Amino acid sequence: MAINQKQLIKDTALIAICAAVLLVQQMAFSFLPNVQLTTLLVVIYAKVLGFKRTSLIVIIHVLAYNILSPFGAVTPIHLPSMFIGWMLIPISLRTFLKKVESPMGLATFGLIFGFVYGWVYIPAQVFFIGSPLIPYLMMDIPFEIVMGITNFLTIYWLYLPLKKAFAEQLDKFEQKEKIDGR
Amino acid sequence: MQNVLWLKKPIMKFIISLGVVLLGIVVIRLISENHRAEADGTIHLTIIDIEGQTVFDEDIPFYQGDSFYDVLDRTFDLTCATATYQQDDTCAYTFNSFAYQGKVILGIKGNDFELLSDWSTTFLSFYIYDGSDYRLSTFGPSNIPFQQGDQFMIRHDEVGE
Repeated sequence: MAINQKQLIKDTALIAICAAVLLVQQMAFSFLPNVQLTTLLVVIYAKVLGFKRTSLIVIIHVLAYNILSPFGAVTPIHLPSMFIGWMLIPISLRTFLKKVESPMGLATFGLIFGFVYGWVYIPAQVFFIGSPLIPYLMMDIPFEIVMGITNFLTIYWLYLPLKKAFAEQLDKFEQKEKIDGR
Repeated sequence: MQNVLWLKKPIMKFIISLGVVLLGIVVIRLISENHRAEADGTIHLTIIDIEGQTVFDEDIPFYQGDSFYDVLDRTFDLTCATATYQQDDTCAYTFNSFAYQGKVILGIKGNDFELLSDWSTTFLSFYIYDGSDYRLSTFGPSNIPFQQGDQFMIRHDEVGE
């Protein structure tokens, strides 16, 4: 089998597993509004796997979550907002936050992202659903704060150990591939 | 010395984390202020049934310290939701999560009318008059801000209308 095909199969499996982990944890936490490990995991994926593979994971996650969510699908109008929201992480970490590696720096990004993620839903909510802008903004603030704090705490405490464990597993997998390929 | 540094790092992390959590709680508390009447007065209330007919259109009194729910409770017989959104005439249950606080009203009974929603196919929506039009309230009945002369409308609506 050509090396490229092998790499492709390996990437496909890896992306599927990462998307599954993302989906399962989000469903497990879905009874707590805006408490999740999704931001932490997407940050780790973006840092370890890179932009392309993380983007594919996000696409699968958004589609799968909306199909399988026990609370019912998000309205189609909100799907683009959800996709754009989660894509902001790999885009930010690929561009203006490319050099940020410290847990504190990334946790601060997570804190701000909690608010930005809420604001991404505003155009659909205001222009298509017809919600009044200012009351909607005000009512969303507690949820944004909860998401921001969750992001901050999980990234601050878990980013380094999880990234290390994930990178080690990935290295082992790469090494095994090399040995098997000889 | 190294031992001390090893100890300091988690302690600093813990203090920073605690600070962020406390700041969040303070901000949420500040923006979730309790709206209660500062003096006695009256508000104007219009109630519209599921057919679109006006069944109540009068001024009702409130007293210092009242919430909007207290005003309704004093004037009408209310049916509230339990934690599982079942009808409860005693209105004993109060929602108390960080984002959903107060009573959920499922029914209002006056002298010559009764509106009763089941929460799944019909519900009561609360509107506040802003000087030009009635706007859907973003606060629940326990926390709707009001003052002398304000106008409100309660509609019995079908879900998806």
